[in-house]
Amino acid sequence: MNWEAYPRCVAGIQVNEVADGYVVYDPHRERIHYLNHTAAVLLELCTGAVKAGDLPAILQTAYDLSEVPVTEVEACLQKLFDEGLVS
Amino acid sequence: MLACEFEVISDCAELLRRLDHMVPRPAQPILPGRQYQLAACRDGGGYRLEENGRPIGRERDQAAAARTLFWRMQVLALEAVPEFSRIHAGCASRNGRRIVAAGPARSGKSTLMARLLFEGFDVHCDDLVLLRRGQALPYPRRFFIRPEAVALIPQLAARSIDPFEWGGWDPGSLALDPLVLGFPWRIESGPVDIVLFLERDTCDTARLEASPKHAMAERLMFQSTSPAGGPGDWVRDVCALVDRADCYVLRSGSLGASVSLLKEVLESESA
Repeated sequence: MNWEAYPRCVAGIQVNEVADGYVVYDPHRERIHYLNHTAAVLLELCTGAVKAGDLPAILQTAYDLSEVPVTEVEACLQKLFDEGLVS
Repeated sequence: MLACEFEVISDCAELLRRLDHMVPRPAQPILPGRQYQLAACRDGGGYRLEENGRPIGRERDQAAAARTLFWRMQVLALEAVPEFSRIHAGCASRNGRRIVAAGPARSGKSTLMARLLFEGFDVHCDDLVLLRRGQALPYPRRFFIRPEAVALIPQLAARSIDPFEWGGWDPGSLALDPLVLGFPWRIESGPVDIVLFLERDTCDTARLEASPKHAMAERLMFQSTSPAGGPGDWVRDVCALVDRADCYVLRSGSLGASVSLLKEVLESESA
């Protein structure tokens, strides 16, 4: 994981919000992704203006966590990269 | 049938009687915009089938001819509403609250819907619901009940059945018309309050588990098909359905226990 990168949500994906997450349709790959609330928040933060290394601390504050969720954010962010939802 | 009006002509009264026991006649507020004339006439040893005067095939006997005409009606009725996503589900309502019950084939949708008829629910359809912009439109088709499921509905098993009612699409299945049983049958578009996903269970009871909406959307995508507008509209329709509804997975090995659970959840949500 490159924590110095500034991940950005790719253009052209269709994000459908439901009460506890997102359902994202990627017309480029013709795939549908089902994101829970945490993954949806992470995707929202991928604006290109937030450094990857800052994301764990932001989520720690957002969810009032006792520990910084570095491993969890890394896994989720990597999945978003792998699925082509962020670049 | 939704936006289509069908006139069927035949020189075989038995064929028309068979078809009469297959076609649905629910009240519906949608005005037909398309008219079709279907014909089945004796020709040699079989039946010649026509649509608006054009030949569409031949069948060897009246039963096969009736089924083919009925199938053609389904195709034409659905072709007339291409803008809807289609979900494999039944639909019922009680006290003004609407339930959509989805699930794979043989998960018990038709059996549950038929049983709900006798439990004070208004049941609109047992197999197919059309979705668009957060509204669910039950698809008008008689409820097809497999012979082995009839025994699970005591009120149905106790009733004498006209042999022609055993004319469902699956060979030997019962084509059940709520109107014939004395229940109202109305097809109307409306919002959905509860989405259920049916899963068979080996236990002899039933469990209702709340489901995250994004997880329910994933389940429903596997039980639905795209509208003409493409996958983007399809996902949007499914999300609009689950977002305003309470979502549950119903794991059931007992029809009676499932009905009790549904009544409980509807009453608790109404309170």
